[in-house]
Amino acid sequence: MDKTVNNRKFLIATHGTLASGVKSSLDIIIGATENLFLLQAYVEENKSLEEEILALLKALGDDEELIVFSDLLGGSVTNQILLYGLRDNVHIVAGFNLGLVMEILLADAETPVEQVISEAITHAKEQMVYVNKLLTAQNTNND
Amino acid sequence: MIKLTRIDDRLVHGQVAFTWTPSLNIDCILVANDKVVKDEFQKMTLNLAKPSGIKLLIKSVADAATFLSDERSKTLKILVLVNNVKDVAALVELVPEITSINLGGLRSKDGSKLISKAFAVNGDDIEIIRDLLEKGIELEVRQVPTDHKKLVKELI
Repeated sequence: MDKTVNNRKFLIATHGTLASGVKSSLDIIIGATENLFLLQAYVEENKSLEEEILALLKALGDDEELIVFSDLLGGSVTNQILLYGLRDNVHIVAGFNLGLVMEILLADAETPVEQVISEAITHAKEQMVYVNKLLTAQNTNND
Repeated sequence: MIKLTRIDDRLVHGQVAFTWTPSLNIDCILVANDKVVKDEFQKMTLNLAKPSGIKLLIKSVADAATFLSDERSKTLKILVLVNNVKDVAALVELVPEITSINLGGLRSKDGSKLISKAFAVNGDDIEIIRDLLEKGIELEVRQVPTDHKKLVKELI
């Protein structure tokens, strides 16, 4: 049985300023969030993310968990996080959407992180919808 | 029982679905609005915004009051949503259980002024609000549950 981990930290890691844009949306919809960090690659200079990733991990206690939301699976941001950041207590989710980030930020800290992430991914996939078709389907059902 | 009565002109949307519903353990969202109840398109869009596993009821203000006064609604944990100040006053009149109102969001309209970041009222609204305050109803502004309650009597 794993020991209970209560302290969760979150990192949104993106190419450019998407991360701060996501944070702006989060602040409006769910309010300010503690323990949320941003990593915005290649905004000022074209340097490796190694330093920033390692600095974050240095501040991460063994009893803490870090959940990373990265923009693209296969993108250089995700790749560098994997390369420099993969640990037992680091959980990386690539290709996030806003609903996924919100669900994970708001999840009960007592629920195991693996479960929180799996469920949030299932729900996030359901959130990506061609709305026009959905409306057509609903109308047909009502007829 | 009523867990929260909220004025929010977006009715069911992100703040409601992602923050209020889980934080109050809501199992039923009741939209009380005379126009929406007759508008199939709006009903459909509200259903799309509904969090999964939650019952969404859309009723006229009068029918909503009847539902809230019915014993059968007492076992539910209900979030009541209206999109204007007038409707909330009508509900308060009909449903004595409502003693506190959350002011969530009301976008600016002609002749309105902001009393907080996301809540704009006009002269008619203020008159109704004063009347509610006089009746001893608590009116508090919070967009999301983690905001600090701001009491309306200190804002108007």
